[in-house]
Amino acid sequence: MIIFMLLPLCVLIHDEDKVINRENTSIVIALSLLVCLLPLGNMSSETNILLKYIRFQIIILILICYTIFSFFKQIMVKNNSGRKLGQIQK
Amino acid sequence: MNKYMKIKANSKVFGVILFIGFIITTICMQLSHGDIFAEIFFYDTLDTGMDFFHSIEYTRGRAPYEVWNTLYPPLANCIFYFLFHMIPKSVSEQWADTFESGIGARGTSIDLRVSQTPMFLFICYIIISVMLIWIIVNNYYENKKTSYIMCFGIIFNYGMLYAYERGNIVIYSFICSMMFVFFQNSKNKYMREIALMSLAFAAGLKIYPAFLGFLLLYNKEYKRAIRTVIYGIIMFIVPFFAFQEKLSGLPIFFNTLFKFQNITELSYNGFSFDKIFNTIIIPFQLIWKKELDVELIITVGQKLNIVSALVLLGCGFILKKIGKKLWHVVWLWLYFQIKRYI
Repeated sequence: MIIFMLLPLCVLIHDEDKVINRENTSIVIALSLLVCLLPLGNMSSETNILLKYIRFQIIILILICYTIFSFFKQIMVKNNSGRKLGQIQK
Repeated sequence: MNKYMKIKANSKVFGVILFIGFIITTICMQLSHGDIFAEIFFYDTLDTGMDFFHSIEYTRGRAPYEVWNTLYPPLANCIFYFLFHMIPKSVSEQWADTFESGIGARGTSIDLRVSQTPMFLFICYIIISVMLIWIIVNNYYENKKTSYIMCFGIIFNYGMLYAYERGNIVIYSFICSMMFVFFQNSKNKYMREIALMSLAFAAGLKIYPAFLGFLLLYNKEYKRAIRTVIYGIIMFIVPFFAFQEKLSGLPIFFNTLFKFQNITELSYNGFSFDKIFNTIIIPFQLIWKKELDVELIITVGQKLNIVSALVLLGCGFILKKIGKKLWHVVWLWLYFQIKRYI
C-alpha cells in the first residue's frame, strides 16, 4: 500500500515543473516522510508487535485527519474569497 | 522564488528525506550487525522472495484456489503459471503438496531458492521492474535532475524495498498504475488507450488499483471509464479459464479474501479507523486501568470509515489538481487493504 503513496507524490512533484505552487510542498513533505521514514518506526530492539502497529497507525491517523482537514480548509478559503470578491463588486 | 528554484526545492525535499532514511538505516544496520534487517522487513529471514517462489509452487496442478486457497487474483496466478513452465520438471516434481509443507521446505534441498532456474527468474523479475520504472519515470519528467531523484526515490523507498524482499507482484501492479496515472492524458491516443489497459491490468493483479478509475469519473470521461471497466472484467474473469477450477474459482477466491480480512489475529493489522481504534484502545485501557466498550468503539470506527471514505471520494469532484485528487483516492485504499506495508 505504501508504494501507491508514491503516485500522488510523483504527480505533485511533476506539477511543480509547470506551475509554482507552495501548498504542494507540505503534502510532498508528508508523503516523503511516509514512504521514506516509515521503517524508522520499526527500528528498536523491542519486539512488542502491538507497539509497532500503533506507531504506524498513529502516523496514518494524523495524515488522514490532515487530508480531510486541508480539503475543508481549502473549501472555506474558496468560499470566503468568493464572498469578499462579491462585497468588493457591490 | 523562480521556477527552477521551486523544482529543485520540491524534488529535493523527497531526495533529502530519502537520503536521511538511508543514512539512519545504514547506521542501524552497522550497529546491530544486520540484526535490524528482520525488524525492518519480514520477520521470517528464511523466506525471502516468498510471494514469488511460493506462488509459482501454487500453480502446479493448475488448481491454485481449490488446493492452495491463494489470495492472488487469477491474472497474477496466470503470470506465475507462465513462469512455472520455465522451471525444469526435475525441480518442480519435488515440491511440497500442501501449504504447510511448502512453508516448511524453506532452507531445505527442495526449496526453490536453491535451484538455479527459479532464482534466475526472480532476479529477472526484479531487474525488469527496475528497468520499467526507470523508462516510465524518465518519460514522464521533463527535467532530468528531477527524473533521476524520482527514479532513485521510487526504487529505494521503504515500501518498494519491502515489496522486493517479498517478491510481491504489487511491484508490477504499481508500475501499471503509474503508467495509467502518468499517461492517461497523453497527447498520443494509443498511449491513452494503453494507459487504460494498464489500469485494468494493475487491478487484475491486485484489485485495489481499480480505485484509480475514479480519476476518469472526476474528469467526466465516462466512455473511457466504461472501456476501462470492460478491460478490467476481461482481465479478471478470462484468466480463471487457465485453471482447472474455471469460474468456480471465483467464489473460492473471494471467500479466501474475506476470510483473511476477518482473521482476529490481524485485527490490529490495517489502517482503517476501526483497526486503528482497536489498537490504540489497548494502551488507553492500561493507563486508565478501566475497561472500555471495545465493540462500541469499533462500531464507531467502522461508521467513520464509511463517512470519511465518502468525503475522500467526493473531494475528487471538487479538487482541480490531479495530484490532490490522487492523494484522496489513495487514502481511500487504506480502509480496504489487508496487510500493513505493501
